[in-house]
This record gives sequence, C-alpha cells and structure tokens, in this order.
Amino acid sequence: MSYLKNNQDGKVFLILVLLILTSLMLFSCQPEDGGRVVVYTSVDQMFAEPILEKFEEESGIKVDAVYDVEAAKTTGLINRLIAEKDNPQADVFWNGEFAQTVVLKNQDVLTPYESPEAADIPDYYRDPDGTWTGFGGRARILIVNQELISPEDYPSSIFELTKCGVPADKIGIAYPLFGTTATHAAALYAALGPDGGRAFFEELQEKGVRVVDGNSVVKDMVVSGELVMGLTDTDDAQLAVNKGEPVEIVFLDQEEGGFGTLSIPNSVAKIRGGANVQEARQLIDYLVSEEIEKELLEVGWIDLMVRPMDEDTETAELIEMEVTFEEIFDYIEVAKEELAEVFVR
Amino acid sequence: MRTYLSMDKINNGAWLLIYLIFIISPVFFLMVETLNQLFSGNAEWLSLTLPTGRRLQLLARSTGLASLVALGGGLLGLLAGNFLSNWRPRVGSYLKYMILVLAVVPPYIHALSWASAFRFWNDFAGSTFLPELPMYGLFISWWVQFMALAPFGVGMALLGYELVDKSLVDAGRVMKSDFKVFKKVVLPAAAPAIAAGSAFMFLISLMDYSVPSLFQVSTYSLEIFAEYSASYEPVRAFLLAFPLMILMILAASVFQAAFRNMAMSPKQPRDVKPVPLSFPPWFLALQTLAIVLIAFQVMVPVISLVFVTGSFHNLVTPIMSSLREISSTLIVASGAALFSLFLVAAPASHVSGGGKLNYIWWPVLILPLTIPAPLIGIGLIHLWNHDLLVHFYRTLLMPVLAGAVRFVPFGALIMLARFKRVDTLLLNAASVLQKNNLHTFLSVKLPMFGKDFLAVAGLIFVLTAGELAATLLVVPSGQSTLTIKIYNYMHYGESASVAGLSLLILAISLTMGIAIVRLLARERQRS
Repeated sequence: MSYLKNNQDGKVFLILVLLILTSLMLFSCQPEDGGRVVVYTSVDQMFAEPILEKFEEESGIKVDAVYDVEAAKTTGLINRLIAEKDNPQADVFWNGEFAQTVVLKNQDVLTPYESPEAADIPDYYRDPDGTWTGFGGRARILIVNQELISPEDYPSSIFELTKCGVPADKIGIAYPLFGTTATHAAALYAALGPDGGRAFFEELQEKGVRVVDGNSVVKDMVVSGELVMGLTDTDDAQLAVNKGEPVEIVFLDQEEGGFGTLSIPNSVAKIRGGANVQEARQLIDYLVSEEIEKELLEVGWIDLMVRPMDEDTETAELIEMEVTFEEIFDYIEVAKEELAEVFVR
Repeated sequence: MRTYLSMDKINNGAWLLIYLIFIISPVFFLMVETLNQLFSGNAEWLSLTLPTGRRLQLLARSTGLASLVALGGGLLGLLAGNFLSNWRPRVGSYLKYMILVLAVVPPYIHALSWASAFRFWNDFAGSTFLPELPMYGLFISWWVQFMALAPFGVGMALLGYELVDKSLVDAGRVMKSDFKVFKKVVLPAAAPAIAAGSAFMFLISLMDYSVPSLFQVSTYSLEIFAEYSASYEPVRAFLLAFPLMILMILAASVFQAAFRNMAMSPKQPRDVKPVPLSFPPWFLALQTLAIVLIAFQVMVPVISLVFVTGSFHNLVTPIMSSLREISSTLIVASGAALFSLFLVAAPASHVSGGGKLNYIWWPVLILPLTIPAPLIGIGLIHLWNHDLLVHFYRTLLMPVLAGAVRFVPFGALIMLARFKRVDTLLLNAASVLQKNNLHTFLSVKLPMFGKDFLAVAGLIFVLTAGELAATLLVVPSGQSTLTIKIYNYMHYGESASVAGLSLLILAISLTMGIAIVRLLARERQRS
C-alpha cells in the first residue's frame, strides 16, 4: 500500500469513497418501526404534504411519504405496491382517485379497515368489504381560456365539445389511458355503453382533438393560449385560477336532468401486512375525518364533500353522472385497451 | 507468472460476478419471471413479441424517428466536433466540453424551451412573409429530441477527433490537400466515435415517449407504457419491449464495433501540436452552420430557464426549500458514480480480452440499456425487498442501484474503448507484482485510466441525477430527489421553480465538468 502513503490522489480517492458511503448510510438512517407510518400517495405533494405534516404535529407519529408524479403515467406507485406485496413497506395508500385502489384490492394488496371517523360517509363511497374509504370528490371539468372564447360560446355539454365552433385542434384532452382521464373514459363507457363510449372518443380522434401528455399539460396549454379549452381535473384548473391566469372552470352537462359530470373521490386504504398497524389506523382516521375533507376543499384539491354538509361549508352543487364505481371499474380495462387502439397509432 | 495471471483472472471473474449480481440481475429476474408466466398457462403472451398491424406501424415510426435523431446527431458531430477539437483558446479548451453539461437538463425542459422558441418565431413570422413552424407533429418531435440528445453526439465526435493521430495527419498534408487528408485520414479515424454517439442517441430516442407524446406523436414505447398501465403485468410490458431490445442490441453492436475500430486507431503522441486543417468554403459554411446550431442548442434552454426564473428570489426560494432533495440527489448521483468506478472495468476488461463467446457476452452485459426504466425498478424491488436485505432496501442505496443498473453498462462501453488501446503487457507485469487486486487498482489502473474513470463517473453522475422512472419505484419513503421535485413542480405549473431548480442542476453539472477538465489538464501536465 505504499502508493497510498505517497500519493495524494489515492488518499483523496479513499476519503471520497468513505465520505459517500458514510453519507449513504447516515442519510438513510430511519427510526425503528413504531411511532412511524409509511404512506404512499398519488395526491399532489403540494396538497398532501401540509396535511401529513399537520398529522405529525398533532399525533407525534412520524410520517414517511412517497409521492407519485404525473409523468410516471400510472406505472409508479401502483406497480411499486404490487411488486412489494410479499414484503410490504407501506402502511397506508392515499389515492387521488378510486379505480386503482380497486386494482390493489383485487391484487390482494389491501386489508379491510373501517374507520370510525367515516361513519357519516355514505355507504356508496365505502367499499362493501371495507378495504377502502372514499372521500372528497374531484370533478372532471372544462378549462377555458377567457381571452380566446366568450362565455356565450362555451359548450355546455361534453358532447358539444367539437360542435361549439372552436377548431378541434384547439381543444385538448389527456391520453385517456392513464390516471383520472382513463377513469373518466371508463365512466363514459359505462354510461353510454361500450359502443357509445368508443364512438365518442373515435369522433374526438377523427376530428383532430389534441391528445396531450397529462391533465396538467392540458391546463398549461390552455393557460398559454395554445389551446382554447380542454378537459381536466378541478385541482389542476384551480391552480391556474388561483394564480390569476385568464381561465375559467366550466362544469359540463349541468342542466336539470342533464348527463352530469364525473366526480372522482379520493380513496384511502390500509396495506396488508404493513408493519405499523396502529399508526396506520390513526392516519386513516385522520385523513377520512370531516375536518380534513373540509381542509382539502378549502385548498382546492377537491370541490365536493361526500358527507352531509353543514350550512357554513361552500361547495359546488354538482349534477353527477349516473354510474356506480363498480360499473366504472368494470369498464376500465376494456376502455384502456380500446382507446390505446384509437389514440396510440 | 502463470499463478499470478490465474489470480488476475480469478479477480476479474469476481468483479464480473459482482457486475452480474448488481447490474444484470434485475433483467435476469424479468427473464425468469417471463419464463415462469409463459409456462404457467400464459403462453399466448408470447404473441406480444411480434408486432403486427398498428403496433408494427408504431415500431416503424419509432425506429424512423430515432434513426433521424441519430442521423442528425451524427452529422452535427461530424461537422462541429472537428471545429471544437481544434478550438484552442484558453477559455475554449474548457468551454468545448461544456456542451455535454446540457445533457443533464431533462428532455421535457428542452421541449418546453423549444416550444416557446417556435411560438416566438411564429409570432414574428406571422407579420412577415416567413413560414411558420409546426407546433406539433413529427418535425418538432424530431427537432427537440435531436437538440436534447445532441450533447451525446457532439461529445462522442469530439472524443473521436481528439484521438486521431495528428502525426499521421501532418504526414498526409505533405502529399495531399487538407480536405483530402480530412476525408482519407481524419474522418475514417473519427467515424467510429461519431457512429457510437449516433448509436447512443438512437438508443435513448427509441425509449423516450415523453417528448413525442407532448407533440402528439405516438411511439412504440408509449404503447409499452399503455400496456403496463392497463395490465399491471411487468412481464407483458417486458415481452412487448422485445422488438425494441432487438433493435437496441443491434444499435449497441454498431456502438461496440465502432469502439473496436476506434480502439485500433494509433496512439497519439503527447507532444504533437497539430495545426488546424484548411477547408473549402462550402465545408466551412456547413461547419459554421453546425456551430450556430450548437450555440442555439445551448442558448435556447439556458435563456429560456433564466427568463422563466425571472428573479433571484425565484432562484433561491425553490433551492432553499429543496435542500434535502439536493443532498439526496448529490449522494445518489455520487454513489452511482462511485459504483461505476468499480464496476465499469470488469465487463470492459473481459470483452476487450477477446474470446469466442464475446458475441454472447456482449449483449448480456449491455442488456439493462435495452429495458424500459420502470421494469428495472420492478426488478430491483423483487430482488432486494426481502427480509434479509430489507435494511438495504429502505436506504438510498436503491436509487443508487437504479442509476447504476441503467447507466453503468454505458460506462462499460466507453471503458472498453480505452482498454483496447492499452498494452496488456503492462497490466500483466503489474499483476505479477501486486499485493492484491486493490493494490493494482490503486497503484496502476487508477493512475493509468484515471481520466477515463473520471469521465465515465462524471457522465454517470449526470445521468443518474436526472433519472426518474426507475428511481421513483425504489426511492425510500420520506426521501426524494431533485428530479422528482422538478417533475412535481412542473405538474403544478410552477414554471419559475422548475426553471430555478433546473439552473441549479446545470450549475452542479457545470462545476463537476470543470473539476473533471481541470483534473485531466493537471494529469496531462504531470505526464
């Protein structure tokens, strides 16, 4: 080892190696299980993080979160949870929608837990087997650029999108193969029948509607004026509204007796075999509580509460599509397969 | 002597085994799982490997797009690489390597910057007779990928031109015109490296769906993600990716063959100071055009990032709120770079040694380059998430491994080129006198290949810092990386924060680049 004694580079190299290895170990140190809960969440970090931090403060339980990103195209956390099934690392899954939570249930990733805090949530929003609880709805809406179209020309129905005088290539949707747009597509399949659902999307494709990378991209392109309008989720649109961009949120099909729009609830579930059982229950109780549902409404992550509201709470009065979660889930796979043929070509 | 050589072989074998365990095993897992599924009643899934109808069209489009991106990169490298290799001003000797730094900017940022530039042009062209540029479709998809990946094409070409034996060039100039010498001596010697850069651009372009889908172009890799998203079956996605693997192994073979040729080029004497060649005006005009393109390639994203960041406050605020992610990213990228120092040598050394089974070994060693990134993450989860290894699984070692698995094979390709240029007798002599393998590594190989190891480590640092798809699947709970944060900010439309953090990544990479160039310069002075 004479080289090491004489050569500065060798020393520098070894010090560097030791430094990196030490950093790797120190930075990765985690507390013993207990007083800790691991949550995987597809809810946008900017909305989820403050809620989880507040839970930490109030409960004294450390929360270690893993957040998803839209760019991963649904191949992120869901597949991680499925792959980790035999040795689960997460305790709780908090999802911004419900369909993929049902996938996890069917893959035997979840275990039942019925929170006492969810007692006032209607049965419709709770899995009959108790594996997940829905709360706080996000509506599918139309975001329009006010500088490019006047209110009287706004379409009032999803079926008027390409008939309202706006060129089809100035209207955007996200790929209906991923995320909430896929759930919306399945809901349309359920409501219109598989032939009607496919025909609706084939018409959009044939007329040249812009199909883009994600709901936030639809929002960005409407904000920039590259698109006149597009279908997206309320939370994305609300971000633009809050920033003072010249955009407006339009709820479609809201006339009396109308077709209605889709409202997608958050869902929260307990992971089968998660190490921190008691802490997981506490976190689920916290997330499904009325207090948190109201808070999520205030910050703009949701626009509907699923439980009966008191008079002080302002929320959208929405006519929802008449389809059940089961019906929507039944069409998810077929809609994704068919729409891949329509749009990925 | 025989005993020492045998020990050396055993040591090399041990490192190769470590390479197989850490780098190749996620792919082996997917292969075993695939066989398991095929023999468990899902044999019909095998049909996914043969694209027909719509999928065949997608594959053809993806291959065409990737080929055009590679062709553009090759041409740009051919023209600009030669100019840059002769660029001798004091600052220029550093600056010419800085084009590589732009490789760290996520392609999505390049896409947004170029979309803004196209819009700016169209606004201007609208009031004149000039033609407008298409805002979506194949042209803009090609252009953005070409610009985003150009650093690899130009960087490899630069390396190729700098390895040309300048004494041969000077000898040729006595007999023929400069341009003929360029065609007959310089270009053939540099062509393998240019081809290698193009092949790498082809590989990356073929796997990318994000940029084309942003501009409404569907690709075969998007089909793989759609399938994975619908079925939640990694094996189905793996089988669907099979045609891409074949294409990429072919491209990587070109890459390897190119390096083999480059490795045969004569060693350049250190004391020769070449005089730049004189070219005909039409060639100079093309070179100027290439340099202008490179200037735009650098300036458009940088100016766009500075412009969007807007103020010093917008730069500092996201950085201060991302200190933890910055630390994680530095540790993960450094860890992967460190891994590469130990692991890139073994496969390169093995293949450079020749042998009848190389045609089998080579595709095996570079297999991870041909696998979609999320599947690498899934493979790592299945391999490491067991009771025995769970304490490692819950650490930043996992994103380190994700970066290493994805990019160390590329580093091995580069080291292969270097090893083929070295007199193996020197290494044999060292192995006779060595106390152990670490001794040889520190006292002989590190000084001899130091700059190559540094360059490879720097490249893997940069690539790992920007990795998303595999990292997301294995990042420990409670931790995140800067790239994940950037994509989150992007989702919220926080353009100023995205731009600020991207500038930070650029600055870190630039610092790394300057440090490496200075170290290389110091070593050159010492030798």
